[in-house]
Amino acid sequence: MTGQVNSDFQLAIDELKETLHADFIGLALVDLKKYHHDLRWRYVTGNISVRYRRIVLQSGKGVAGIVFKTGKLMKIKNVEASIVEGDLYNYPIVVFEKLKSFGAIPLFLGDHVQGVLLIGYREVDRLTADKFEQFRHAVGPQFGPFHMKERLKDDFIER
Amino acid sequence: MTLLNDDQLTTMLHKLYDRTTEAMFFFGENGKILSMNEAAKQIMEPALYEKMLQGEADAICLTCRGFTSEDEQMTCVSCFMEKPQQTVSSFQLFLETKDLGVQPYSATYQVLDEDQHVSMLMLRNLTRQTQTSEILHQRLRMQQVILAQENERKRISRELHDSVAQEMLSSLVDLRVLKYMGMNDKALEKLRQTEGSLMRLLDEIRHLSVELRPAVLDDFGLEAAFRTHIKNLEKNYGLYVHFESDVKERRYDGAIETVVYRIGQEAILNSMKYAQVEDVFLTLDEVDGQLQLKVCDEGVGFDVNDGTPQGTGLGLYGMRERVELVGGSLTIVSSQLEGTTVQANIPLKKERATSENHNS
Repeated sequence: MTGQVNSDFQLAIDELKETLHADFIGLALVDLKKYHHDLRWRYVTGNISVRYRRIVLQSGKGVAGIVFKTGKLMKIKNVEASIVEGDLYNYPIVVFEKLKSFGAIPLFLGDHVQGVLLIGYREVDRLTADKFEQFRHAVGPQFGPFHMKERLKDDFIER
Repeated sequence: MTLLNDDQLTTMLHKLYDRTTEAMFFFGENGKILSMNEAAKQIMEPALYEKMLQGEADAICLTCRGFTSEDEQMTCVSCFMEKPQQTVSSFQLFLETKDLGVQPYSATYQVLDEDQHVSMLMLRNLTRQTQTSEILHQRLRMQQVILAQENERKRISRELHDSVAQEMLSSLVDLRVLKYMGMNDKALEKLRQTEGSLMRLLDEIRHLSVELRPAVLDDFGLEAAFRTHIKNLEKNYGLYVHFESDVKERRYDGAIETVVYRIGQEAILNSMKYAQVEDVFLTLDEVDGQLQLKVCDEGVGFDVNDGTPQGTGLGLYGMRERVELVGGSLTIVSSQLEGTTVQANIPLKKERATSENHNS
């Protein structure tokens, strides 16, 4: 149940899901054409609901928002142990897709994060450190027009 | 009316001593107990009572837990027994009592004979009064905290909205002007990125301001404020709130609007956090001169009487306190199977003015 227009991105995440035996993969992108900044989950695979479509991600909020803002990886091996139940609503994608173990990486265009790629499992502890490395490796240094890097603290100062 | 003669008076006083509900103690030198009445015996542990009767010095200390001074609730500093001349004649004293533990008493201490060192202590139980005043005190304080918090939120929200966001907007306009002043493509691209970041920042500041306290509540009232809030909930959390209202653009007292808005907000948040639902129902109407707010969900409920809440438990408490600020009432009905309904009723007729209008 994806209900998405087929595209290169869709193919890429379907493929990622296969190779990594993931339950869910989501790609959040900033709409570049729009004047207004608009970050949404645009491509998903393995989803069990379409609630993700309602959400417009705010910078700094939710999984994609946090990765977007910080430009850093996010990895939660065990949702039940790491996130208090009452706080879970702050991560809607985790709630909607019943993810129990997930990781997310930023996708860069130039110096700016323009997307977030999320891999999720519906059982705890599935995303081990090894698996996460595998995920990053599978995505490769270049994903579509995006490239991988980790934002360093002095990135801004250099420029 | 004839005055009693001394004999009769003695008899009467003796009866009073035996029958009064006030505990009375007579002390001799060094706090030796000379006599205790029936009421005193009643409040004492039997073993202690026997021990006190044996005439030890300062026997009252076996049961006394100190008196209330300006510095401490229970203290022995400058004890009334030691310095009777410094003690005010009436004060609050704590005693270890039979079955009930430490209890507050209103005490009167009187020196009867300075040469013989005879004195008397009279005690009246204050538990009820103390509890009542404590609850009142706590409630008042809670309400003050709520008001202070609301005012502070409003101040910061206004500041962000009126000054920080405005400044940022004018920088953004400047930046846009800059784009048409002739520069190479590389610089233009960088400028565009900067513009994007700045816009995002502006969005964030506006969000913060609304989250703290929506200006739309002060400017357009409850219905508009709820509609904005609901839109944000859907965007940020994918939660659908079905809102029905027949108050239209009617405006209420600022305090009432704040209370109703906050209760609605809190109740929806609770549903979102704990009920595991996608849909929440919110209704707002006027019934019999009362403003009625109802928030329902059909999700996982909870035991209303359960003393161990899932979260901090402050949310429900805060809701009650808020409602009481405007003289309203709050009902919460919840069951595991049928979900939760939170209903607040606020009288619109001014029956009592408990708080000032803090909207204006």
